[in-house]
Amino acid sequence: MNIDITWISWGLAFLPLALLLLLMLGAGWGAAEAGPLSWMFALAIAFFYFDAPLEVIGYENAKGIWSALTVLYVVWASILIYEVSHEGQAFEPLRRGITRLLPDPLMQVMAFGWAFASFLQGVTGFGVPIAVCAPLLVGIGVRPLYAVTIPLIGHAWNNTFGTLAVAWLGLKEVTGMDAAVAAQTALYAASFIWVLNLFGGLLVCWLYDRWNGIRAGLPMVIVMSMIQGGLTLVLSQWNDTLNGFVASSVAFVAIFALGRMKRYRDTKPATSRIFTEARRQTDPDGQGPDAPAPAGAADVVAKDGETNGSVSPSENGKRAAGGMSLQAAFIPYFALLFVTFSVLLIPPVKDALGSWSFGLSFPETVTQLGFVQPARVANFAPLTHAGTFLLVAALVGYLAYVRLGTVRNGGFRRIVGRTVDKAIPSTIAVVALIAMSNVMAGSGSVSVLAQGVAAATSQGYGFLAPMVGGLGSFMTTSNLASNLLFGTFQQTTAEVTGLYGPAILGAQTAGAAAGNMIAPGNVLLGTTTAGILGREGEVLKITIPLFALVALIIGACVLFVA
Amino acid sequence: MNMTTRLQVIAGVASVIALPVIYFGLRAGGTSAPVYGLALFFCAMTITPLLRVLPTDFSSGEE
Repeated sequence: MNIDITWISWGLAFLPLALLLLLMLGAGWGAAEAGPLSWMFALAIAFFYFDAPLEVIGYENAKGIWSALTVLYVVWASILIYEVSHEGQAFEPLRRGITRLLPDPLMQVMAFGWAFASFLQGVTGFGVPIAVCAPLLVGIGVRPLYAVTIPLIGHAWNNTFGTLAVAWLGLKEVTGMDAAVAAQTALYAASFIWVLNLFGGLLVCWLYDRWNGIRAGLPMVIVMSMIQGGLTLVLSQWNDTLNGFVASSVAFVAIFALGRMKRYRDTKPATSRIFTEARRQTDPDGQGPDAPAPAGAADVVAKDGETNGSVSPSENGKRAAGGMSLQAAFIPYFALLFVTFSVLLIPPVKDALGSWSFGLSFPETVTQLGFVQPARVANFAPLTHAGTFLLVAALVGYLAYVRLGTVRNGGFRRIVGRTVDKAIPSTIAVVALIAMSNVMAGSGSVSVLAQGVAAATSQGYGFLAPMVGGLGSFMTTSNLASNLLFGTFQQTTAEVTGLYGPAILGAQTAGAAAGNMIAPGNVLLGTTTAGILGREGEVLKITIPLFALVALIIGACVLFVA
Repeated sequence: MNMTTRLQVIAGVASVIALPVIYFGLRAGGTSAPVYGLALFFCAMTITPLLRVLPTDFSSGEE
């Protein structure tokens, strides 16, 4: 690429991201408004400064819209499954059942926000953990802002080796590493990810009740982290496809066993500020699972002054839902797990269903400054896509709730209406953000950003390597895309600066995993399903400092080993 | 459906329509179709930021 890395080129490359952050964090704009404006800036800078011709601009926007459609399939289906559970009045039985199994409110939050979110990331990915866990947390009386923040932090560690390790396999593929280097890189990646996992657990405890939360949750976090992070590390040397799934599955079972420990088995009052006023009032002294409940997500949110745009269930509906068991309330999520396991973990089924796919092929493009974007085919296999799993689960849940009699007349219409209302604004945001990241990648802006960081830091680059990985995830909302975007760059930078390649590549993918907690696409999924669309900036104000802290800690670890 | 939602639906639909116009226009080697497609996409992307700055009365009318 024939462009000097100067403050001007770097600053212009960074401008769309700076504007996005400024509008969302400073001015309180939602992603649906800040995203399109930042896209316009990215477009203008790509065209006028980075000399991206019409062909590049056109193909990159087409790639962006196409990718957005596949992401939106998950968004719409996630909202649908939430609305089905809400209309079926499943959140109150769910809260009651989980409270009975895990009487400690901290354990309830950790079970949904850390263990279950990680487990879902181990199976499905694509933002599903946030989209599913945020409303579940709202359902047990967590304020929507924290209901979005907690799974964002909790699921991040499993982005590299979760989802059948697609992000890790992508890194291996793009860097062309041999088996020995792959084993070394997996070791470093899993070690850094363990750091991320441990701090993720501690950060959730800290959000729960600052130092008191950490003191209360420390034994559980250590055990869970040994299972999640430790098992991932050990298994990474044995099987690089299933390790994240196995570790998160074992941990999800283990948290219920931990809930039987003396320290966690007694009922405690839900006094944390992360709970809504309604939950704190109905559970002031730990009356236990049979205490009057905060009447599902909608009621809880409304009393707390944070609307999720949903209607409250009627008294008749409450009576109908009163007899629902935890298992019945969990039917859509059981269906989700069953469908996902059946399709993804049985290779013949996966191969047969995955054979039907369609997509667009994009040719290699070159800007007038010589930046080359390789050709690629963007395929969509609907029958093995997470969106389809969610859609099937929502349908199964709806039919089950109808049979149980918890869906009132006109329920289907209300479900569809609320889903459409919630999904439309996030649709615009997702399209704009993904189109922006594609335009920036195709025009060479992203390359300039990364090269600028490397040039400025030289031998100390290892410290910032996780940040670069995080930047990739921030822009693309994907650990895989970040690895594809920056994998070769990190590899080359390690060679040029004389740093140890496997450690830098491990830092890349660990940083990219951490970056998922600040990715606007992920934040949007949470704010949409938790009913606080437009408040993405408030979520980012919490997660960005936490991401920076984790990235700096991983960076410090890299300095020691690279 | 209020005016805001209605305009957002239009923006979403316009974005989806822009995709084949841009993609197939470029594949066919033309210049006008991709330009029209990008213009359509650009218009769609202006809607939500505009709603932010337009008077509230314009966008809050319930049907």
